Amino acid sequence: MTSWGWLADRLRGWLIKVEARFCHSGHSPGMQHCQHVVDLIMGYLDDTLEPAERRAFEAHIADCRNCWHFLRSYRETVALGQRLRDEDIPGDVRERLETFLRNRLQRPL
Amino acid sequence: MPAELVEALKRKEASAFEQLIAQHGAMLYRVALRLLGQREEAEDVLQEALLKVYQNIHTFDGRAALTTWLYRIVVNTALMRLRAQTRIPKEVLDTAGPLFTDEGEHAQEVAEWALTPEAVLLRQETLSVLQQGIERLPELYRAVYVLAEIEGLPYQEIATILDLSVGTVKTRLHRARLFLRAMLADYFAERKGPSS
Repeated sequence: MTSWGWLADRLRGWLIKVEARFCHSGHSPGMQHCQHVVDLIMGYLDDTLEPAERRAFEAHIADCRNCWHFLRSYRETVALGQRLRDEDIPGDVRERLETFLRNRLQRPL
Repeated sequence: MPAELVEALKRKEASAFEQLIAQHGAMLYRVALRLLGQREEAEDVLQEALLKVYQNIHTFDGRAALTTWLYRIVVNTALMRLRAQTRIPKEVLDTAGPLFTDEGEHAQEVAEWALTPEAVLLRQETLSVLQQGIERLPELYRAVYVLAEIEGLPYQEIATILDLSVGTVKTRLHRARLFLRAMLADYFAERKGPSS
């Protein structure tokens, strides 16, 4: 998937750059450094970047393999963390907690 | 109904506490477990937190949601326990992000991870590595991470629970993610091996 994905994103990035160059003169789409891009990743994923900032971010990502890899791995880290949401309370723990509270209720502090 | 549950809890009805555990036990246990890393400790903290609920439910005035109040109790109880243990300095996060040149470009090549996201998500081992990483986060970064990433709470609610600004919540979450990303990157690099 990676080489096709990479190619597709590069093409998309070039289109964004062309669009930015013709429609938003004064904003250089390649203005951001990698460090700036890493700082903006969370805003990008939360969709809270200004439109011009988002375009510049995407243009940079499309041109920079390191930042593209960084964005992908950051996204995967987020997705992995969300997998930990599936944890349920074990039945024996639930029973012990209920017993604990029942005993407390019979013997108020 | 939350309001009816709160009233029943204030009357100290046994069925209300059973309902509380049925409705919110999983989320309270998950938070305690991810903050502490050990099942036994999570259970201890949960008992302690439920005792605090029992003792202090009369102070709950409904200005915040019941779940926010419960999160605050379990997080504070877990943090107190963590602080009694070895404190992790927040300097461990200083090297979490990637290195940059003076021009702000990546100083080292950023490797593509060896496994597809689908494969990664299914690997219990990867989740264990992630949990180990969470346990290496300083307490307040860990609390933000658990509430944001694992519980999926909005930044504003996390800010309320932890008495932080929304900006601080976002900064801590980002730094925690950078730290965990770096840990996972090392893990994938090791799996891939030097020859591939």
